[in-house]
Amino acid sequence: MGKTILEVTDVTIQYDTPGEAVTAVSDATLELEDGEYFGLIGESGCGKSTLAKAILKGLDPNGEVQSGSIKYKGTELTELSEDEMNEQIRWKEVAWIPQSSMNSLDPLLKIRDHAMEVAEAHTDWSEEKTVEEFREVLEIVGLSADRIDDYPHQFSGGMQQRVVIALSLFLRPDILIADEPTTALDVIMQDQIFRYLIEIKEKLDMALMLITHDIALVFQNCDRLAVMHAGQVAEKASVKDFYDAPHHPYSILLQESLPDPSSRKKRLESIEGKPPRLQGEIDHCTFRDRCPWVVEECHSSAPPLRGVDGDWDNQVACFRRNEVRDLFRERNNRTQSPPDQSRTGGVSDGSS
Amino acid sequence: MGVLEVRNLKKYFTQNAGIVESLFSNADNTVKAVDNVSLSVEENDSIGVIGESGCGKSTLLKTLMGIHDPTSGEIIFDGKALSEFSKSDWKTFRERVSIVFQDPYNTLDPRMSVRESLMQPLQIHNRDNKEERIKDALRKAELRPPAEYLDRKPEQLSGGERQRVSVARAIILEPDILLADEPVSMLDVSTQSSILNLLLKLKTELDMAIVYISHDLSTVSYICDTVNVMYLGRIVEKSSVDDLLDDPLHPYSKALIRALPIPNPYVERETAEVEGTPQTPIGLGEGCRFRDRCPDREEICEITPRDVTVAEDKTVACHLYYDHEQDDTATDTAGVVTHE
Repeated sequence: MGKTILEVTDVTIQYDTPGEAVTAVSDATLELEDGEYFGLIGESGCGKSTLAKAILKGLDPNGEVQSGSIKYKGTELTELSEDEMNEQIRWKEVAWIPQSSMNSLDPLLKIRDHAMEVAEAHTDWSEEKTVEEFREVLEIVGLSADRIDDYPHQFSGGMQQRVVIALSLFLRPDILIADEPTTALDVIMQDQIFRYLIEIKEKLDMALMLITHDIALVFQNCDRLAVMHAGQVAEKASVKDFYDAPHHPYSILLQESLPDPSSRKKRLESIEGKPPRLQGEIDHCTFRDRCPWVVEECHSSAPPLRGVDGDWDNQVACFRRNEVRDLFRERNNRTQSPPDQSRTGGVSDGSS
Repeated sequence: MGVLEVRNLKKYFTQNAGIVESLFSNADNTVKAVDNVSLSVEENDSIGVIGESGCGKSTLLKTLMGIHDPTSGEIIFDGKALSEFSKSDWKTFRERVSIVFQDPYNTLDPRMSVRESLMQPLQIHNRDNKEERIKDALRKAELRPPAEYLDRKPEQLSGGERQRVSVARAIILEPDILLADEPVSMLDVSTQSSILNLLLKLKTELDMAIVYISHDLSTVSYICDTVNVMYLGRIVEKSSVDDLLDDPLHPYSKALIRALPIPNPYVERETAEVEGTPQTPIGLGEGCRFRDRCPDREEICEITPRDVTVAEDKTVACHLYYDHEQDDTATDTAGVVTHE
């Protein structure tokens, strides 16, 4: 761990729609290190899936990266052609599991044939080698290698999702991008999938970008995270730093709005309003209309990601990043009795 | 006795088999969606029903509302059985028991303004001061100022606002019981919490009971005091929320709670020991429904376990928790471990 393998820098993505172009992602910057599990979280429509698709040049036809750079191990992906992406990057280096991907298996093909298709398009492996490699990853995700000749309908939903994960893994990518890999599944199956994803981390030294709306999943399975709000990256931090002390107003309110079964007396915060629909160039903080601590500056320019108190491992895109936590506490003391801080794990709430 | 009593409720569906199948096969095609469920809702209670998709929780709710006729068992409202309801009893029932559905995008008529949607219950139940009541309901649902929302169509509202309109419509007749079927599962976290807070506030303000149905234990634990864990049509454990979270008894409840992601990176979870997925609920016979996935399976599990009261307000349907020698309904089999 430690070496940066994917760098997304100041990326702006727009969708061409009737009228003015819709800005789905504006000036987003994030990076992925070798072997780390990274969570990208945000509400629906915040641009997290768009950003992931852009990394693989898989945007819908009306979407386009307007500016910025996406570099994988030094190669500028935005400049590669479709053929070059297929030959050099997709599946082999960066694999992708789309949303509700268990439905993407072809019901008429044995899972062996799914693997053959992928190998044919992206490698020059023989049939023998393909089958051998695929049997190995099937075992890694907890499926018997003997089921290679089964059809998708012979597997349950959770197992189908594991077949998709096995397919994405078997060309041994360095990065797996998983977009809501378990939202369609029940908690027990979700738990199984993540058990295997964690095992994969230990066995294959692969980085994972987990895109989800469920912060609990990120807290439990990832090393670092980024929070997006309406196209902007609001905060980037290690999950423990973020849990102890989030600094962006959106992050603070988001964390306080989660029902936590392990400390159920907590009163939940809610965030007023809804994310704006953004058009053209964005020259303001996209959280300004929902933020309780908005100031003049938030309307006139977009806050850049900056370290908090000089700590660049914890980056926040807010002009008031160094004082928001105090403002939040003051407001709480004023308006209500302080929320119960009894959380398991015995950690401080970051108020020091 | 509770305001709403459910006793041994069963709702079976028969599937249409093909002609060849029905001629040559004796297979049991019945779907036992709700199988022997008992519940009691007291005044101002908040009761949760939790279970995975397909466990029958929505069928239970629909049967409670009279949308499905029960196969057997009783639903008793205010001392009178639903099966004996006259037309006017039904009208009173619908006035006093209302419902909020899962999907705020589909439960509001797209052609009706907010005012029209809220007007309907008032017209049907002949209330006076309609305009004032509508505004009041919107205010209670925190859509302020009400005048700004009255003439909007659903498409002009966000997901959270739509769900607030659904809530306003459900409480406009000041019901005794509010049934809520996954009311926040379609919403983003930030909006989700505001609807949960709203439901809790209204429960106190209107002194109503809430029956909250969900697959998500974290929202159930926020809203409810007691919770029923449902698995393939049966309630396997009934407990206070705190007891369930701290000390789940049924092997399925244990798995469910262990599998729940906790929003805290410092908590090291145990992983659930359960594999596989629920069976399809077609033609299920005798025995514990969870036995095929259960890590504690014994021979006796082929016999349907009875509900054991292990403490006040805590029951569990599992052979691990009763002594079979003292029990007439189940024969003791060699090798069964009993925990008392």
